[in-house]
Amino acid sequence: MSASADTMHSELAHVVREVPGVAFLAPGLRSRLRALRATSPLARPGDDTPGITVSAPSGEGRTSATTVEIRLICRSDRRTLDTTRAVREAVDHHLTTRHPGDEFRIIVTVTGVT
Amino acid sequence: MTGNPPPGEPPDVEGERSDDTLMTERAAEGDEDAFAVLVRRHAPALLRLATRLLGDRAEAEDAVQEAFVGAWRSLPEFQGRSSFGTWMYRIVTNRCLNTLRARRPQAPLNELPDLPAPAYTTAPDRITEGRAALHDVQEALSTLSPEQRICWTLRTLDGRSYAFIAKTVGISEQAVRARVFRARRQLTHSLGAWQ
Amino acid sequence: MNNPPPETRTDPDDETLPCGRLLSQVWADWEEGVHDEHTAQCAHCRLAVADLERLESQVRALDSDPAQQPVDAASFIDRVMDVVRLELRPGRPLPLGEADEDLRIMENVAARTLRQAAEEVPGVRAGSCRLTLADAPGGTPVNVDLSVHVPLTTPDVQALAQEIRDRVGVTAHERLGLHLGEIDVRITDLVSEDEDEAAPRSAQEGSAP
Repeated sequence: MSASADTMHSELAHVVREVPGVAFLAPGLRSRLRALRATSPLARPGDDTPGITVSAPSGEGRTSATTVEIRLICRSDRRTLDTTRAVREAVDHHLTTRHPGDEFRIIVTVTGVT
Repeated sequence: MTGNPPPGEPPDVEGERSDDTLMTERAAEGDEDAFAVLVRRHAPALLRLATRLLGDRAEAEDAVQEAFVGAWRSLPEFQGRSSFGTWMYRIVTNRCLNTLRARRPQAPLNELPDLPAPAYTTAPDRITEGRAALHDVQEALSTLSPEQRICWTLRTLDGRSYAFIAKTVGISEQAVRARVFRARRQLTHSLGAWQ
Repeated sequence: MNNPPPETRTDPDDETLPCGRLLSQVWADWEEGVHDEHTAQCAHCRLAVADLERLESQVRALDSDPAQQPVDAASFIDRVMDVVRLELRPGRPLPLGEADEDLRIMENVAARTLRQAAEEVPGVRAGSCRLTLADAPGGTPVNVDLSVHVPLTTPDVQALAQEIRDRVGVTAHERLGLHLGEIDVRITDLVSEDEDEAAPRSAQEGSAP
């Protein structure tokens, strides 16, 4: 279960990074710490698959969809809305291919423009 | 005799002050890049201030860092009644006051040097002795009460007006004058100049 | 105890010099550059002032001691900002595109882009930029409340404000994809240009410096 969740995270991360206009996924708290980044063996790049949260259906609210939230930093040379739409499409395509029959709610949040 | 009063308040560059206002507004709304501009702009002077007030570089860095982090947290409530620089000056001064209050006196008052041994200690050319004299000054400063030390340092080393100090520390101008006077008297005593 | 002169503040630490003057008064006069016949001639007063002057020059020597001066503020600033970045305030997520698209941009990120847009207008500097969700049926436009400083020499402030509004509106649509409602531009200061206040605005924009 957790292994497949890991796979899902890294596959999604790959899919998102390929979308034109995406600079990078939002860094997690750990990588925001310069000191840790520089010295800690805990802070390997790509360690805590940053910027992607997958939460199981909560039972309330919208049907029984799994929520996938992508948090990312966009490049300023492309319209942000277009980038986020492309991200959602890419993620949607990936998920429906890999998890046919499952329902997903995809949220894309821009946490920076660079 | 020529009075040589320190200048009132250091001049502010007009453009920088205007930009400070904008950066403060942005930082209050969570723009950390704007806050970084303010930190970069004000850190050197505030570090100098805290080092003067505490006489210790490491403690000064702690005080200024805590002051900045505290400022970042309370910026959303900052009404801009004073400039960012004045606000930070006040926060740093009060942190230093607390640091001094928490510090155990390095030299108990009863170990103060007695009234001066004559000739060499009072000779005017003592100033040129450099570091030895500086050490004496450091020692003498540590005999002041935290409140005296703060008021005297802001007046003498930082060149602030009595009115400014009164506002910064939150006491009356007359109380500031009294503290500065006592500090001067104590220091001239300790340094063996006055008797 | 001597008889203190009437103007005496009752500071128990004060001291009356053999000439009858209060030490606090002698020092205060020196500090404020007050001179009178007495102080110019009195040996006691002169001695008291000389002591204070010596003290002040000693501590100034201390102050210019290189060991007391900041060596390198850069690493200090990095440390401060590291702590600050652990406590970011990104604001609320605002809707990009249509409300039901589940696409969002953090308030701060949008504000930063809109400030930059305003600053593309020459001489304009942007400060506060508040974004609020408008209560509009069927849509979710975002209202903008922007504060700017503009040059004192601006010939037509209203026109400049309109230029800023246009630029912000276009940027929100073209660069972000954010539906804006009202754009309120408040000019909070008129700033004189540093070099030459008399210079017309066109000189600053002109090609030849």
